[in-house]
Amino acid sequence: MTTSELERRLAAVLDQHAEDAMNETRTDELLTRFEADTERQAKRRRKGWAAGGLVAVAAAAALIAWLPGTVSRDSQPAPPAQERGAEQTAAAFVDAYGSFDRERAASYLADDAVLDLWVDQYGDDHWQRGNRWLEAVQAKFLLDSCDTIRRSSEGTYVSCAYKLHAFGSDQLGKGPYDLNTFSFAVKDGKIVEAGQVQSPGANGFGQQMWGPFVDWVSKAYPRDAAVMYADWPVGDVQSETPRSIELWRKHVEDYVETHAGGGTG
Amino acid sequence: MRGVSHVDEVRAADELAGLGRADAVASLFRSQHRRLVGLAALLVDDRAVAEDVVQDAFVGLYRRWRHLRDPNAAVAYLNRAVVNGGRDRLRGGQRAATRRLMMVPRAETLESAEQGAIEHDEADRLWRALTRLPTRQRQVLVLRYYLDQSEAEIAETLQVSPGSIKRHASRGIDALARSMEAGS
Repeated sequence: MTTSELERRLAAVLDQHAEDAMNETRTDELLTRFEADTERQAKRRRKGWAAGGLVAVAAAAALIAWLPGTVSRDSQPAPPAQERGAEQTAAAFVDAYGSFDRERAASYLADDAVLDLWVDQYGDDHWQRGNRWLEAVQAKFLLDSCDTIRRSSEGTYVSCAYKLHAFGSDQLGKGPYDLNTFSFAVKDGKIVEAGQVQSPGANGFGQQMWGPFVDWVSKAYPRDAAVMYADWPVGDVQSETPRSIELWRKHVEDYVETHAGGGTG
Repeated sequence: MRGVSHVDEVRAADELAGLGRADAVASLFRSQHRRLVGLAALLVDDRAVAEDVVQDAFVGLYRRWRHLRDPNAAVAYLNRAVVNGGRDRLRGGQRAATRRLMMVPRAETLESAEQGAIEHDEADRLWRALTRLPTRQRQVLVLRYYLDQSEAEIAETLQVSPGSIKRHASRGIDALARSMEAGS
């Protein structure tokens, strides 16, 4: 089979497979579910804001509620405790992960958790390497909020949106970079699955920080750059060996120092 | 590009301008959901999982709506979220259990029962070979041969360099060719 024949057949197979899935999906039904989910989350968020903004009033009301027969209790149902617990677990993990407290972060993970955090070129058991690399490049996670997406027998699925500073972007007057999301599955109080979606192209991080840093380090420290990137000379994937992480730490500091005053290095 | 043409994007931008967040995202859901499920089904091995990936992408879009530049950025966000979400689910799924949809040939393409059986077998083998590729190669081939994206467009979607796209595509096609050779 020639390459062009293989390409033609591959395109046909992909068309057919996608068509089968598209014919089976029920867009209207799933849109209804989506709208119900987002409306429920919006109500919860409004309740949260109201609760936060009216702490004093709530405290007073709580005091009064202790007086028998004087005030009726709020009849509005509270969010399911399971969802609240899952969101708290997810937020606590993000806090520990972003504080580079790997021991505390690990305490939120189930023993057999499936992890795909930031990078996983060394496998799930080495998420700590990715976290060490993030620490070396001065990553700062600015958590927006954690919200339940859905529940199933496999756990409660929680999405946490965050903004990111890295490579000293906060010191260089750039960022923070938005459109990033952690996703978790939480079961029995432990994280059983964790992943991430980042948008370095859409949020500008790629153009403003990653690309310029590759250009700079490849000129200033070409031999180190070959150690720092796993796919050198492409420069898309960082290496996370102890040696390369140390180089990342040193050169990100150099980069910030060189560029903080508006210099081009 | 089969997924979203420039004309489609401009039209979507016109239609969405002035809508509130809920209405705008619902409108995008109606116009993009079916297409995105088709795309996701090529990146994961189960339609239900593909629907979950798309659902998650829309939840993310809804939450990020006010931060997006325009509806074109929304469509790009959805594409990227589906590709990345598919990768996450695929990796998780590969560790758990692998379920694959079987290919069903279209009746009108069959010239004879025997020919149909051969084509079905080849299509099925090609699909199975694709699902065994490394995730990045599979993503690149899907974006190239299903969405007809250029190397630059694929690089933008996957947030990698155009040079690495060429390499992944070449290696993926070579691997598929070897699989088909071995099975013939």
